[in-house]
Amino acid sequence: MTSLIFRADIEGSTVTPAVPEELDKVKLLLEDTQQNPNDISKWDTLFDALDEQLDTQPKGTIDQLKSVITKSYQHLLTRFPNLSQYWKRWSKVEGKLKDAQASLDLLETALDKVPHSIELWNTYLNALVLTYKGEEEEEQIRFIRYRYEKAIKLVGLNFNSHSIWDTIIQFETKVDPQSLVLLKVYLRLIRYPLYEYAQYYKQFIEVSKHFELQDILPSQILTDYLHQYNQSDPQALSVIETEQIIEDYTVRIHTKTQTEVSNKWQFESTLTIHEFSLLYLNEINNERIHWIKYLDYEISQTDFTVRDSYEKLISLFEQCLVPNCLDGKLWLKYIAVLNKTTMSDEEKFGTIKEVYNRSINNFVPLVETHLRSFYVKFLVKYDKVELANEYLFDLVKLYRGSTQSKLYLKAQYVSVVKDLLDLYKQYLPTNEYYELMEKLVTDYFQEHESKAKPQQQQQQQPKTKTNESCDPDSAKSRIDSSYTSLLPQLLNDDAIAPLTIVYLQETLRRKDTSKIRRFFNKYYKHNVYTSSTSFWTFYVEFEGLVEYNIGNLNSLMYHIKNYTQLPKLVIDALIDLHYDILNANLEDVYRTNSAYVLISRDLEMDSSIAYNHSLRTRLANNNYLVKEIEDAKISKSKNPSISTNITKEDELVKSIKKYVGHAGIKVDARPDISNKIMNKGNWISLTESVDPPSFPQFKNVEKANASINYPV
Amino acid sequence: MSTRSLHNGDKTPVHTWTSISTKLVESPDDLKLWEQLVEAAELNNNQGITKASSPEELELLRVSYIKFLDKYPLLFNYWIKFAEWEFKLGNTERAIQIYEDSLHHLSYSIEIWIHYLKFKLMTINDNLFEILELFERARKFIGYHFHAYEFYKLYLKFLESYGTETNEFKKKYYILLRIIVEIPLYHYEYFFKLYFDIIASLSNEKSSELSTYLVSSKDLKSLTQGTDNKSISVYLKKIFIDVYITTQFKVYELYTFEMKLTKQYFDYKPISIQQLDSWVQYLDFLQLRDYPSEYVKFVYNRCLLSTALYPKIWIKLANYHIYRKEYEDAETVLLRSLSYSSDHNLILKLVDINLYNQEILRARDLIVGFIQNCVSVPIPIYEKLLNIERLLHTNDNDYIVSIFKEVIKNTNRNSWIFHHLSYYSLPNEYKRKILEEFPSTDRHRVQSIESLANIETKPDYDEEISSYL
Repeated sequence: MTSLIFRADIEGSTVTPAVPEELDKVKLLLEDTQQNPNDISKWDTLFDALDEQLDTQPKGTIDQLKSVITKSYQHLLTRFPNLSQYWKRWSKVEGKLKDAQASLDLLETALDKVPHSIELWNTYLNALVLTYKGEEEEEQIRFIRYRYEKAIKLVGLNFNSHSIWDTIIQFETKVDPQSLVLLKVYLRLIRYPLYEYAQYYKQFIEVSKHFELQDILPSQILTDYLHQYNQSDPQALSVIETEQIIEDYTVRIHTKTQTEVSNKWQFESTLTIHEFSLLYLNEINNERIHWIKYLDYEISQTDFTVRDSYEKLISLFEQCLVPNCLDGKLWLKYIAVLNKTTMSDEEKFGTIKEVYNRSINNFVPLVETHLRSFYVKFLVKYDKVELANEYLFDLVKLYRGSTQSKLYLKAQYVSVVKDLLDLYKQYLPTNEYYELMEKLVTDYFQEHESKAKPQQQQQQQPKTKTNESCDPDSAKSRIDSSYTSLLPQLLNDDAIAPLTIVYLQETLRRKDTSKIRRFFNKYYKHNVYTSSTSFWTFYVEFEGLVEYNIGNLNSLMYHIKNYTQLPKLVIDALIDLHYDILNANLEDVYRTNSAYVLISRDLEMDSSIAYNHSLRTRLANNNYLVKEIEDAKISKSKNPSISTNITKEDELVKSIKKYVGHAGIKVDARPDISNKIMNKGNWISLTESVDPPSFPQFKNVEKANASINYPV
Repeated sequence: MSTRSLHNGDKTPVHTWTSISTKLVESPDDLKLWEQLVEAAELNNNQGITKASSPEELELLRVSYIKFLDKYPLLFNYWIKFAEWEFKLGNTERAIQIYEDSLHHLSYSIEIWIHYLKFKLMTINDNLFEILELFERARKFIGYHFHAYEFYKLYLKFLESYGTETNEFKKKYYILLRIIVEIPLYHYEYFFKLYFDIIASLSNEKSSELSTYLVSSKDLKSLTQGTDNKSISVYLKKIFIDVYITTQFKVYELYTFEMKLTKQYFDYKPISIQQLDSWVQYLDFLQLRDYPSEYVKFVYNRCLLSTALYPKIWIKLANYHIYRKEYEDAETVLLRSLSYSSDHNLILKLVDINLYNQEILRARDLIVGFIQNCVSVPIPIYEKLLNIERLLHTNDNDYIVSIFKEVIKNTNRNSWIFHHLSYYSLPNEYKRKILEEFPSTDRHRVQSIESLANIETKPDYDEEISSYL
């Protein structure tokens, strides 16, 4: 559930409604939902309480209650628009608070937000049809037809849409059981592969009896049939002939539909959840694989050049994305499908943009950056560079978090910063881009240093840009400089390492190796790099695989092994790489006296602190407990220069020894004999004439039976 | 009887032995068959082997054992059985030789030593000092064994039984006991009881002889609370209670590891990962707890008695020596390991040590020798060969290119070797010569290295998104 983070969580944009004092109970529940907005049971309790209040509340304070109700539902449904159950519940409450029309209006709003929910359409159409009282109300009938046409367009192809079709048929039958409109509905319906297709076909046979041949068959097909019977006028056909034609025509349609249904059934039968629910997230996730099989099958059946064909696929995707609305990968699959269709560029851009916006703004949680990153690429493809820039800028700001929400999505932040730099690389003139990178990096450190040494501030004038006007491709610039100048404010410590790599790679491209090394010498000890895998990997590859400078590589590796805070897996991989490079250049190894690396690889990759020397040093250098002991020592001792790494390591080993053999339980002292006969040089050979060994000298014997302090 | 020869025996000639040995020609790695072979030689057509058996029959038994042990030198039971045969047949010298031979492989085996020593005690004559030397030799190898109880008991009994006025065995008995009580042994209580009994008996002693066996002359001088036997006894009791506490503490600690070592003998069944892990944890523990290196090395070797087929443990021991800068020892360990495992990692490690010592030609010989004796050569061996060839022909870029091409032809692992190529500071035009000659779907690595300085092409949006289809 932790991954269900949305924009509102970071921006803190949801406003908690003011609650009147007499609603204390509601107030508590409300706060509970604000704190656990992903826990649907909390919401349920809140809504139950609100319902109860509504029934018992004196008329006077109802306005305040109304506002609480509205804001609560709004909050939940902005967060999870696909919770159709709650839209329904809200519309009922609206009905109670106001009237049937208000309830209907609310459902319409809901359908704007979630246009592909069968359940909502069903509720809405049912309610709407009820407003028709069976009289000749042209206006009303037209409106209802307009609405249900929309429903058909959006969800009519849904395999389980029979409830909607039933409502429509019911309504049309009520208006006029023998109207052409009803026939047209059926004529469409029998072509759709739906769960209840056989039922509808039966009904259609009944209904079609009331109609003429030319009502049922499109004129072109009718002409073909007439041709077969050598007639020119349908009136001239006998009753039997007419029936034959109708049957032949409809059976063909029916057979085709039947095949489609049985093909779909193998997939549809595996899907049990059709609406989004927070309670069934696991189940939804389990059905994902069935959805993918289904979609892949339908994709293979689709002709992307034929609108009818791909629209069926689109409808299926929309159906799938109702329960799976949180799933960024499925949205991308949908977008890939849309991208493959042969819509006109303009239409395609509009359609896809709508899907991106819908998925990003309404559904997919913030942790998912793939989708967002693709949106940027999409905008760039359609030459909306400015838009892409603005969007990324906004994302960087968002992921960077706000002090208000205390939410900071680090991985996502770094990823969008990279995207932004990529964009600049493409759309800034090369020199300008390089200067920007350089400036961002150096400014960061200058600011950092100026904080440490404020008296130096005067000297730090930003470098004046040169040659800008001579830049050959300055026309490429598509990025407003007001953005690039804002950028430094958006970069935090985590962004500096990736930014540095981009800068260094760019420098390498310019073959300025001395600059790369100067940069290293200046900043390698900086905090932002001690745990940056990409920073150290870059330098190892630079010295080892580009420059083949074994001496530098060795000192680099020494530093990595002893002082950095990289994950052990990364260090192991680098040790391996170091070993491989040295083996390939043995002459340099002997020249630089570094042959020890050839035999120490396994040792340094071993996870035993007992004999992995560099692991020990690294841990000693980074262990805060050791540091505390060290600091305490230094402050006590008169000569701080005595402190060396060796003592740090000793401290670490000492503290590890206290735990060895039983992790977690510290045993401070163990009894021992300091002049053990086992010790080196104390061996007594009984083949010679010998004296008894001297008395043992003890350490900590008195502590052997000391009680052990078990952690509480 | 003596006229009976191997192949024309009366009712059933040594038919079983021959048929088994024929089968062994077909499947020489079948341990069961080998065991049957030895058994058949022992049964000798249900007539058994005695001193009266014919020289041919005896020879058959010996040949069977020798060949078997040649192939399975770690199966200690067979060494003992073989030696016992020779003893039964009255060939003491041969039996000794067999025990000595067994120690080439099993010098850390407590079973071998105990049988060897028992055998020597059985055949004792006036060679007391020789046997004492043998006991001392054994103590160097197995003295720290957690289960050395039987060995020490035997040793003490020997000293006790054969003590004379002149040979100081009595004194040595006390000193040995004094040595033992400091060693964490499973049966530590037994030895402490002996020692405390002696200390207690001291107070009733009239002469000062016993006290000189228990206290060194230097300590005796420094005793402040009186040098009469009673005072010494009281003082010793106090000290050795502390020794008792210390040893007990260590025994308890070690026992938590020892109890997990359920398979401490060698056979050809695989060893569970948990069991290997238990050994590794034990070894790490001893190192962290500052056990003397002799002790740690002993436990390594004890471990290898059952894990000799696992290169991981050999390499770990080699690393332990490397850590202690004992490079020669590391090399010895790896050379030893090659008798039991032909894993290429052992060779590579050995080559690395030789390269470290700048024994380049020896390193090359090891690799070439391995390639010659190997049906399918692992890639890392080829890589090492390339490494060494590059060193031997540093300035001859064309030569290394030709070797690279040959290795690619032999292995068909183009991408892998291309990857390896990127490690060499060979000028790019030579690298390209290799790349261009061989196709590869994955030139990624070399290309990316070359293009670290070039602009890489980004895949286009349509291509990228279609991967989601």
